[in-house]
Amino acid sequence: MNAVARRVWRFFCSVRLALILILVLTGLSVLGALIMQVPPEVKADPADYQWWLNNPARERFGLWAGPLHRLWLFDVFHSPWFLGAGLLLVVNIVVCTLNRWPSVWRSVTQLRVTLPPQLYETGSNRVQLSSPRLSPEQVEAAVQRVLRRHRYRVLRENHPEAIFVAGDKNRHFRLGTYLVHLSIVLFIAAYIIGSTYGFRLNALMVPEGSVREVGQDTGLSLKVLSFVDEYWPEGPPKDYRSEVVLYEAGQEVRRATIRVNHPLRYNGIRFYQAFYGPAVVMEVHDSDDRLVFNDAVALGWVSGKEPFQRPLGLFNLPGSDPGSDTEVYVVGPTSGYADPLLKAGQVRLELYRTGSRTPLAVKTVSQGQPEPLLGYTFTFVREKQFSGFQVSKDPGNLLIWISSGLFVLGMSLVFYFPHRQLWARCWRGERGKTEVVLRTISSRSYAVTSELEGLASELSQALGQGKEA
Amino acid sequence: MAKMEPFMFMAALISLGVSAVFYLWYATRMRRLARQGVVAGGEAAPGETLQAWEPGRFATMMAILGLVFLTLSMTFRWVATGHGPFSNMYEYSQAWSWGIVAALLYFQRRYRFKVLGALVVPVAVFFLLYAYSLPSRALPLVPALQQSLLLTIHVAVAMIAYGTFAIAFGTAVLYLFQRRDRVSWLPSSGLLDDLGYRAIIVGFPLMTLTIVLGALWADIAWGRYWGWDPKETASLVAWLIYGGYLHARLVAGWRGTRSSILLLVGFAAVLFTYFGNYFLGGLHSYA
Ligand code: HEM
Repeated sequence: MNAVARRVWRFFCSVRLALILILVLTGLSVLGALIMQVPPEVKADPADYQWWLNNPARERFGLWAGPLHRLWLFDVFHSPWFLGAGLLLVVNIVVCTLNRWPSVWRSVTQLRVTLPPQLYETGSNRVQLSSPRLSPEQVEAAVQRVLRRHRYRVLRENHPEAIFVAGDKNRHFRLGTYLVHLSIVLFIAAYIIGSTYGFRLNALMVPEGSVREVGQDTGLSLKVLSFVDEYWPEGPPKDYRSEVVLYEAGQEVRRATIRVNHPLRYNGIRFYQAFYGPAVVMEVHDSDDRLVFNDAVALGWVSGKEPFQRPLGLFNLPGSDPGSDTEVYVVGPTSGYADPLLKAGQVRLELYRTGSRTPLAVKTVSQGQPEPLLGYTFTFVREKQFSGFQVSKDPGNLLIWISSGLFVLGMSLVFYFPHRQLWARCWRGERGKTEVVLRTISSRSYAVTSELEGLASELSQALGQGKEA
Repeated sequence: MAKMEPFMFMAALISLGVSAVFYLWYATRMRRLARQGVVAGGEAAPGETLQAWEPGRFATMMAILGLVFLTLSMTFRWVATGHGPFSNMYEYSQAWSWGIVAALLYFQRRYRFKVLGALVVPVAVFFLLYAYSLPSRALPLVPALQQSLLLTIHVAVAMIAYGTFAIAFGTAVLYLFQRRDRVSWLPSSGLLDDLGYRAIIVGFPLMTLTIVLGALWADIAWGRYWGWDPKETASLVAWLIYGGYLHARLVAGWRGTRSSILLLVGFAAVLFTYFGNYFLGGLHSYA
């Protein structure tokens, strides 16, 4: 049991595993960038998703759509492969960090002044100099001066056979890698918190003068008093903004202007100005001439193919008993092209029994003219605009920015203040000459080698000057 | 002032074009002189390599001049449009070119070797030619882009990050030639490997910052910092590759050749992200 646990632990310690996981995540991300991904709000509803698979996906990928769906490749970033590799990466980081902690902490807090003797005699990161005049103590002082000039902290020990010196710098910044890896774990945690406890509505459409509920158990509803869109003389939109009132449990809690880049925030919920479009005010009377519907309908979807893409909206007429509701689709004329089907000032109504796909009735109506249809009387009263909002609640948001900041900070510490260690031994050698060896321990690193060479040449100069003096 | 911009742009293009030619000339001279046994290790006493030294010096001067013209061109445009170079591909391409030349001059000075320019300046010229092929007219900013400060920093940081990635790309190519330390006129493989790493440790944190600032912008404009849109995903891919490169160096045997190949793949991913607008959809496609 213990042996198995140790093997699992060792498996998760390795940087090689990290490389493999990073490779897997990279490969999956490439697929996610190249293959069309299903929008999250479509994925959320099984019926919509089925429709999506049979239509856009089938059109694009033909027979491959089925296998791609089964491999989760239309939703790579929520696939078991991606989430699994991400989870393993987190475990990898945590285990690796814990495993290395004792040795890293030791190298930060303790600097051994002496190395095993053979390290002073062999190896590549090693420079030996000698001075015929200076005593070991004087050479040691020169070593200390050179190291201090380069901001090293210096320790020394006097042994009968030699003087030992050790220096290091930026030792605390070594912990920057912990900051880096901790912040990755925090970032992933924040992402998970956000997607678990938050929500996001991509299209809350509120016509001018109307109120819409936000839903999601917020008890909030939003009323748009007016909507304005402005354009640059060259054509592109310059600004669009909505005057809104926010209600909580029916009570007004906020009055604000929402514009792009200036969301309305309330209790951790943010409302963003996102898009806009046409709306039509409809009145519906039933056979007893009672008013059963009187509101604006946002035509926020599109139906049909280019060039005849028509704006589309819908509303519900409650039936006498449950399950007998009528859905009313309202289709507006194509903008920009002369629409052969609908003139300006006309809309087409299509009535469906809820859940059915065959229309009960279809009729084109003109503004201001009541039309009887299926026992109701429909009146297209006038046109308006609707304002489209994205609504989001993301309790992980703050943590996202904190962890991003820590990540960049940690990396800057590790990269720009690299941890360096250096050892020296000075002793009286043959024929009364003082010998000194400088030594670093490091895997092949050009930067470490060139720093050692730089320090050695400064020392050699110092020893040379000492000779002349 | 707006009228000056095309002239400055042209002057920059010509200077950098000439600079590229002279860097290439410098490289071939170095190679010939090395065959004759005059230079070794990429640097030699100026007296010995006077023949190569002259074109190298001229190439550097033209690169500096090109950088000055580019700076002026971007400044004039900034004054005319009232915002930094973040509104279209013409502006980004000019900025990237700037980043490449600036990074080259920095690393050339620091490491005192010039052959790199022969690989890297042509990349900068390529981006200027690409910018030249695009409509340069500045359209006014759509509302989501009216975040001048944030987006200016986003692009400025990206410009330097992408510039250093071009340097890393150049050193990786040279490394692959110099793998066994047989090319006497190039610096040692150890120095090339280190230079690639130096470029990445400047570029990787800045790329991270670029992505974070981009996410911050998306959060302010749409209320979501990350939407897995193809362009975002492509930048994540490039980021992961460079992250992989940093870790690969910690695993024995991954220095040198294999990590150089990662640098080439990383640069390919950066280019893919950059030109992604042509084959990927998403929110960035209108920009
Ligand atoms: C996407 C995820 C990761 C990122 C962005 C990341 C980032 C970094 C960075 C920027 C460094 C500093 C590199 C250097 O000193 O040259 C580093 C070092 C390191 N990373 Fe990661 N890392 C990630 C995942 C991991 C994982 C899963 C492991 C687990 C094995 C790991 C192990 C290490 C080790 C051992 C070091 C060297 C630490 C030292 O020298 O003290 N990393 N990482």
